[in-house]
Amino acid sequence: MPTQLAPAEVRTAGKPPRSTAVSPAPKAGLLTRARDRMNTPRLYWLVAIGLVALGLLAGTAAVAAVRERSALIQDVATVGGPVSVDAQTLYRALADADATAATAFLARGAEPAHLRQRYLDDIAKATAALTVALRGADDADAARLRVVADQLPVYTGLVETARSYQRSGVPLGGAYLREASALMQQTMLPAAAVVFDNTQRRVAAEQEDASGFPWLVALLVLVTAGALVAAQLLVARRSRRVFNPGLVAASLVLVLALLWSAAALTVSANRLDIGRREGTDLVSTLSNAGRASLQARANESLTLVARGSGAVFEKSFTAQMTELIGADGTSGWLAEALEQAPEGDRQLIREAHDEALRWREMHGEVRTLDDGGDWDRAVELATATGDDALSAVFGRLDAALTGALDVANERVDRQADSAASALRGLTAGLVLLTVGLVAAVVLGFRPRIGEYR
Amino acid sequence: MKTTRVVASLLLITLAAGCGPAGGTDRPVAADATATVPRPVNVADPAEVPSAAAAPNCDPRASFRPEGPLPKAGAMPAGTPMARIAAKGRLVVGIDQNAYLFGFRDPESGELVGFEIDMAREMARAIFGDPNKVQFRAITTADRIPVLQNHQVDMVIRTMTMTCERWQQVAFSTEYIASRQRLLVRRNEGIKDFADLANRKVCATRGSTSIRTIAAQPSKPIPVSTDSTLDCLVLLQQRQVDAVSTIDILLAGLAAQDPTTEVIGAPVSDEPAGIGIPQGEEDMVRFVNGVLEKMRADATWTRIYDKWLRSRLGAADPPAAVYR
Repeated sequence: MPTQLAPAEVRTAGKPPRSTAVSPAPKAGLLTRARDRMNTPRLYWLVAIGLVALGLLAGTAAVAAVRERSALIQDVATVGGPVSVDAQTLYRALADADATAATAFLARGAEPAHLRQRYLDDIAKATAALTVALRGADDADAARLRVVADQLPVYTGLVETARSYQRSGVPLGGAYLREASALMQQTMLPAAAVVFDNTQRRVAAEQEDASGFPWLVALLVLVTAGALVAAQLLVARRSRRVFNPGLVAASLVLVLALLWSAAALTVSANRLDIGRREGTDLVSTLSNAGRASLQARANESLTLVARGSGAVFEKSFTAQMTELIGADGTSGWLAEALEQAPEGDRQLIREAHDEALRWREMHGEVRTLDDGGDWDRAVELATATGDDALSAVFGRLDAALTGALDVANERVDRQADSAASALRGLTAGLVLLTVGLVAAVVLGFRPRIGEYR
Repeated sequence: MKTTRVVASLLLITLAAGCGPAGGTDRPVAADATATVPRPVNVADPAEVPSAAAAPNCDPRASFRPEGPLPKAGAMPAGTPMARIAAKGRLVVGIDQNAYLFGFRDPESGELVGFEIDMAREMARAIFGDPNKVQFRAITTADRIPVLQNHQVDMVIRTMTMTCERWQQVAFSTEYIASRQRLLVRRNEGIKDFADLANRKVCATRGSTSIRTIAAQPSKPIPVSTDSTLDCLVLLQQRQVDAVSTIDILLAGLAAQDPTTEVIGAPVSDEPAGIGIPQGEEDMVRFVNGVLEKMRADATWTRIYDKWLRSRLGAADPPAAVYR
């Protein structure tokens, strides 16, 4: 190593006005001449300083990389994850409010108390999630959230107008509800969806960044290892001792640091990768499945609320059902979720899938009745309660999806925690090992240099 | 004195420049926020105006004359559409569920009620002797002709205007209620007629003759179309349109839901409403006309009219039948 420094110094000396005159060294012989000219203690000094510098550099880089990773993991656990959960809450609460308001509207007379309560809770959740989400959003997402914030009071106003007209028994109420739902489905939900997707992408990016291969550190460690081997060969040749205890110790320290870091980083990266694939990605898919099913439920009710002029809502229902389980019942969000989910989660998702298939079948019966002019029985079928009723089927689908979503969210958290704990102590360990390596190098060279005094 | 004024104005200019929008950053200012108005789903603004096919010349009111005495309920002549309906056990009628006073849901019972619902029940009574042997099928304005052509319903009683153009696709009974296209506006805004609506938005349902009539007005209003007349009332209440224009009997149903609106303006069309029947079912048309004759004669028509419409539209006689 230091032998390479010498010619570099010569070359960087710029124009060689005197050196050319005194020693016009031929280029090829420069290295050998420099080494020959240098006496052994000086060479040892240079090698020792080089090794110490390299060790410090590699150690610092490794410590910095580990600290950066820990910070990213910490961010996933304490910021990204919770923000993602808030975005999910907003997205879901809005879709749920839409579906609940439409279902409640179909009831004869005043709406059932539990549906009214659910709607009010959804609005409360959406408002709370909005204020939290606005705090952490970047400019573009803040603009989207502002659309939702601007329209939410307009939306609730329309729903209440619909409700009071419905109570006084004039058909105008249905028209207001349809307008409210159009606002929700065409303006508010798409804005919330983009914000949700962005939060998910951010968490996934953090997870990926924190699990990538540390190229720079690996390179520095490799160079240090090479330098240690070279130094040992040099010392062995000059001192005629096969082993220098200091350098051997330094090498062992380096190997130890390497093994520890490799193990800890691999485990941590694995955990994060599981957190991303079976956590964050699965959360995205399940949230979209939940949104699609809620929107489909809203449109199913609206088709009946529209009383004969609901073709446009039926078209949306079909589109959302296709989004959920595919036209053939074997693709769509739920099939994708099944692929992403680990075996343990699949039971819930399969349940959701079965209920979705049942629902589509029952929806067909509702449509046959309504299209055949039997609106009363169609509404009865759509709003009936009981274990086999359509609303119970939808309820089970929704519950299964929510359950699977909870598990996936928890996984993001847990995997981030265990990724963090895999790195625990590594920073301090690396600092100590770096100090150890430097000390071993110094202790290894000191007696050799002393021999020449 | 003069210098101080110059210095003062310079200072003012500097200050004003300093306070202006800095560097063109367009950070949204809360005080600048404005409301955006929502819209019902599927609004077309401006509306697509249905093209008027070369309408043949005819008397749209002229229907087929009843033949002989009306067959007794439960004893329909064999081979007729009525016999087929009797065998089926119920009369399928395409109706409107959203037309207040004409066909709508009673909020308490959830039952379909209204002027046209009662008309349909009278038809069922004439065929079965039972006014309840009727199955209602809610259809859109645009669906009226297709459901007849595809025989998905036996008849359509849904304020369907008799026109020569439609006579080529379906058959009609004699006129069962007279109507004219007029305007529904917000009270006290100075709009009295189509002449006051130049370049202003006027709403009607998609594919209806009303859209064509609005577009044809000399004052050039802008037609806006929706899926249902109720959506038009929503737009009127939200001030997104300045008037709703369709037949006066439907407008009366809208005005009844919002007392701050009123039906005004000279009639711009004459739109007799007839019961739509699939083309080629002449026996059925003659039978329905016979039933209508009977309802006019025995005051059934007046009883139903008074029950639903008299308080809104004033007293009226049944429209006279016109035959070919």
